[in-house]
Amino acid sequence: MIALVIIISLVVGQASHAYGQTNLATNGQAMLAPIQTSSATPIPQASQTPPPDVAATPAATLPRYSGQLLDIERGYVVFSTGDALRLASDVSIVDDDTGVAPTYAIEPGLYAIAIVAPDTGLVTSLRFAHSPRPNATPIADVPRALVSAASSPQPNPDLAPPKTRYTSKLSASVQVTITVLVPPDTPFGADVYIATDTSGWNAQAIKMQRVDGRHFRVVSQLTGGTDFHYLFTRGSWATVERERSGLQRQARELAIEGGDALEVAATIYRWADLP
Amino acid sequence: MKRAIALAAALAAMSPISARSDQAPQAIGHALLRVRAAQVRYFSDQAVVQARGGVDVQLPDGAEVRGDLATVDLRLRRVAVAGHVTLHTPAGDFAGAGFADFFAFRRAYFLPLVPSADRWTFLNGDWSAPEKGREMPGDAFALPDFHETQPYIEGTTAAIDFTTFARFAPASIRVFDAVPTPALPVYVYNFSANQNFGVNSLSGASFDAPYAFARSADSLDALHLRYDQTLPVKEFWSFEHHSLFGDAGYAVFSLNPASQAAKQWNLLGYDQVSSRSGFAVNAQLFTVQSGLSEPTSSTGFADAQFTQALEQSAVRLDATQSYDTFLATGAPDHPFVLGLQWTGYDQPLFRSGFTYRLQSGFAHIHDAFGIAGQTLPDAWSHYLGAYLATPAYQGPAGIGLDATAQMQRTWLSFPNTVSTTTLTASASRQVTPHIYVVATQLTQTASATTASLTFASPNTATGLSPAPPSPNGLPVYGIATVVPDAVSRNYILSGSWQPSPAFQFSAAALKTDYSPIQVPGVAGPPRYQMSGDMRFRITRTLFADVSRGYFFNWGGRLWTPQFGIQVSAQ
Repeated sequence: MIALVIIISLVVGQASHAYGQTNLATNGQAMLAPIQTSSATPIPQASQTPPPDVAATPAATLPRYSGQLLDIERGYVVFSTGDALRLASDVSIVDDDTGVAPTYAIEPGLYAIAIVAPDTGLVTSLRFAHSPRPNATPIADVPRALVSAASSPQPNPDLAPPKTRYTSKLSASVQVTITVLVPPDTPFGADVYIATDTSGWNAQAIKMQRVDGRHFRVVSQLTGGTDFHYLFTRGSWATVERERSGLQRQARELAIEGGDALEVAATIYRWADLP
Repeated sequence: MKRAIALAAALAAMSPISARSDQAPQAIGHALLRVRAAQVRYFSDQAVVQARGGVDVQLPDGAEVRGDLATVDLRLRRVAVAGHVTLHTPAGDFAGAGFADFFAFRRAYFLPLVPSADRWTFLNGDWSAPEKGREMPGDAFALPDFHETQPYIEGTTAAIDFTTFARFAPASIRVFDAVPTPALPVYVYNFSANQNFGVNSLSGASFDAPYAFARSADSLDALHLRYDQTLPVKEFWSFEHHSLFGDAGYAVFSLNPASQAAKQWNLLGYDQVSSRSGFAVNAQLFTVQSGLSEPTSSTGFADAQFTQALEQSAVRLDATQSYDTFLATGAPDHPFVLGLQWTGYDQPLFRSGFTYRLQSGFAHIHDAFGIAGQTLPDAWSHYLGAYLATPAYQGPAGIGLDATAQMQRTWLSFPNTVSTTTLTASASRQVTPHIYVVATQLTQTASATTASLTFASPNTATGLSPAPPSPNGLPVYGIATVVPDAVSRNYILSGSWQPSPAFQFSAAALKTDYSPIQVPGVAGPPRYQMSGDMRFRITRTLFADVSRGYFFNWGGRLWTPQFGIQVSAQ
């Protein structure tokens, strides 16, 4: 039955905004908004302007679970972890920063805090924001009893060890230092660059810094999980590096797998334009 | 009881556990993923296509997914659809909250809401028997956050080949990450890991904006809007086509500029004959013609190389045919050079830490009208050369020391003998974590037994490497003086500062002593030079490189004619 009560359009548009306002009106929370009594800018008084929703309900003390929104539909709120929670029929929807109805469309990708009534296990309030909400329990840690799933959980052999939540290991910024030894016939005044597939193989994508007579280096901060192909050049495709034999070489590959720092030492044997 | 347990174990062992199939990424081919929505946007810094509003995604196998929002991660090779999702497959239609397909792993995750919330996993493209309740990766449906990010491309449809390209139509491109263009009919974004799509046959230009308009798995067509501050008409456009074949083969054709009378038609080709041999061709045609009318001037050359790797060396056969004119008017002068070149690999010099490299070659030059305008129609050359390099030694006060030496002698059948040497010694020091200073002494010598007998050298097998190469691609050799012996001593102090990846500054001071003649306006290079180069980020993906040199009033010259300005993408 609950599924029939709440049907929200997540399509970009006005429907979700109207949905939020409707619920605010239902809860009577709009009446708690501060009222300006003069044309001068009022000085907010803490005792007079509590967040309307907090003042109206004891939700702040209820279990709060935060995560990225995937969908609100058919009586469920579904997070990007795949966890679906059931919605109460009178669920309120507010902006987490202002405590009032969101002025933006409610759509997948937003961040949300779900406030759950312990007695029913239903979500009574949803608070939305454009950034992750740290002041709540991650949705990955929600008690399984609150998650709706028709099938009983089955282990996934692909996940070893099992990953129950996204970890930041692959997202960490890694300092990558690439140092390269150039051939002895490299013209002294030459600059050395790195061409990458991520730059459309622009021959001057990354400029390297001369370290000594034959070494160049570059230091960059790259995100863990980055995987790209690259070749060294002297600034044009006619001066790209080659194999020792002078044959065209396959692109080098660099995968950033996490960690604090990564040192890459490379050697260029030949340039395409030099004998 | 034991038999029952054994039977159960045997049945378990026999049951198909497809989920345990290879979890290493698999090749996914070139079948297209098609996305259609009210708004399709590409965010280049995260390599993600995002579709919003009435999203319709057609998977490569024909299944269709509809929803409110979709993201296609070109690096993860994953599509995720969220919000009012309907999944249409040959096995049936399903409604749910989210769908995610990791193509490289052949795992599709689905969150049905009808008849009730659940988790389904489709394995290996089988839509008929989802594994229900199977645990999913925690980030299977994670959606990238673009709340405060501007897209690079905006359109309403996208066709995506996960290994090579994404084609948007129509497409508005954000120039300099700021100014969107009017909607173009189509735009192809190339992200192939195959570097042969990057082979660039277009020379010159300080700014190049490619507009790729046609693409398949193995071809790419693009117009290039270009700017070259050194040309009389600075703005022009060019055309370039790439075709790829085999594991490493390519052919690149270009017309540059296409919008000016003086045109350059280029063809670059390469194919790997075997794992140890390859064939390359480089042909250029230079014409002066209005549009495609009859040219008033037409010259060109073609160079073909065959390279064979040996055990610790390689040989290259190099043939060059030049055409002084293709027109009926003028002398049909077609010089031809055929040479064979041998290059040894770098080898350690005993246990000294030094390395050396040997080179040699011989060539035959034929010009029925006389080589380099002289009367001699045929000439032979052979040469022998060597490089010697020290390792980098650590000296006192953190100073590093290294040196290289190059020697070469070329014998010509004129007769003549040309000898060149280059000696480089450098001292370097890291001043701060971001500043390096290098002091270098560079000495180059050239001597010939007969100074006046020099000739054009269209390929390197003759042993006379062009320095510098001529701008039209035809290298012209000439000893840098009219007297038999020349010596150039350079004293260089260079420094570079890279406080962050977004900013680099380098500067160099150079003093040159050149003999026998170093007089402004007569011969020899400027005695003193300074140059500076600054590279800095102007947008999230674009860098500007500004450089300029100063000559300390050498014959009235103070600055280089122009600032060198280059804008490039990273």
